Amino acid sequence: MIKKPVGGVSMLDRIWVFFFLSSIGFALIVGRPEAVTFALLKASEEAVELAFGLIGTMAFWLGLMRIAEEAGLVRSLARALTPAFRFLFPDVPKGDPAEGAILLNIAANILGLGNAATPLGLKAMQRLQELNPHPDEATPAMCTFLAVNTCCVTLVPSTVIAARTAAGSVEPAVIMAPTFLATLVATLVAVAADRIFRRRWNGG
Amino acid sequence: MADYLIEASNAAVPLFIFFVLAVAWRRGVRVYETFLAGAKEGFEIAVRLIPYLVGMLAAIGALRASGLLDLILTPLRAPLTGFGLPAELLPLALTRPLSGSASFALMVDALQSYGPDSFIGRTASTMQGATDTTLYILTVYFGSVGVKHTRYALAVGLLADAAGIGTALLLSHLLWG
Repeated sequence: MIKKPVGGVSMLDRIWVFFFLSSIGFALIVGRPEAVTFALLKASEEAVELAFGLIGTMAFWLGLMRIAEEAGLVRSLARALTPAFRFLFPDVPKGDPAEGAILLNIAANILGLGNAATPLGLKAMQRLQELNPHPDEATPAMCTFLAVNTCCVTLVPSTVIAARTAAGSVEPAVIMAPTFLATLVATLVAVAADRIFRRRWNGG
Repeated sequence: MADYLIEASNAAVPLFIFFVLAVAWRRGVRVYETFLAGAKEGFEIAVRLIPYLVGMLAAIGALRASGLLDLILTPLRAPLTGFGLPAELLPLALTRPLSGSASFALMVDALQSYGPDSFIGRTASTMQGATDTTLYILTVYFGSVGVKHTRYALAVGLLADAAGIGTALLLSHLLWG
C-alpha cells in the first residue's frame, strides 16, 4: 500500500501539497483560519482512533486468512485457474516457474491476501524478466500480468469490511457482491484491452 | 436481482468463514494456533495505517473546513450527478488509481462524514474495493526488475480502473440508489 517515490515529486505529493496550500490560502482570504487549525488537529486525532478501531476486525480477518493459507486454499484455487493461464499467457512456456508464481499471485489476490500476493508477484516478474529478450522493455506477458493485477477479482474485500465495521455499520459486508462484480468487470475490461493493445502494438 | 445481490453479500461472510474452517479442519490444520499467528498481524497493519490516515484526513479536513471543497464541488455537482457520481466522492474516484492508502483514508472519511450505511458510504466502500492501485503496482512491479518502457500497461490499468469504478457506481445505484 506504500507508493515508492519514482524520481522526484510524485502525483500524490502534488495533490497533497495543493490540498494544504489552497485550503490555507482560501481560509486566510475568507477569514476563517481558525477553522482550518481546528480541523487539522481534530482530523489527526480521529485518524488514530480510526486506526485503533480497525485492529479488532483486521486481526480476525488476518487470522482467518492465515488458516485459509495453511489449508492450501491458495494452492487449490491456483490449480483451478490453470486453464485460464494458457489463454492469458500464451508466450510463457508450459511448466515454466513463472506459471506457478503467477497463478499463486492471482489466487492470493482473489482471496484478498494482499500481503502474500506481492512477494509472489515480484517473483513472477523476475522470472518473466529472465524470459525477456529486451530487458529495458516490458514483454506482452508482463503487461497481461499487470493488467490482471491492477484490478484483480476480489472475493473478500477484507480491509473495506473492517473499516465499515469500525465505523459502526450494521451491514458491513453488504458491499461484497457488488465489489466482486465490479472487480470482475474491471478484470474483463483489462484482459480485453490488453489483447487489443497488444495486437495493435505488434501490428505497428 | 438487487435483492439477490444483497442477500448473497450478507451470506457471503459467514459462508466463507464456514468453508475455510471446514476445509482447514479436514486437512488437519491446527486452526486455533494458526488463527492466533495471523491475528497478531492485525495490530501491526492497523498501526501502520496511522500516518496515511493522519496525512489524508488532515488534508481533506482542511479543504472542507476552509470552505474550498464546497466551492469546488458545487459547480461540479450537476454534471457529476449526470454520471451518477455523488460530488462528495470525486476526490476518492480520482485518488483511487494513485494510492490505495490515500483512497482508503478518503473512504474512511466518507464513512465518518456520511455514515457507513448511507448511499455515499456504501458507494465509497464499493468503489474502494472495485479496483487495485494501478500506479503503485506498475511502479513496484516494473521497478523491481528494471523495466523502463512499459508499453501500454498504464493505459490498460487506468481503463480497468475506470471500468471498475463505473461498475461500482452503477451497482450502487441499482442496489441502494
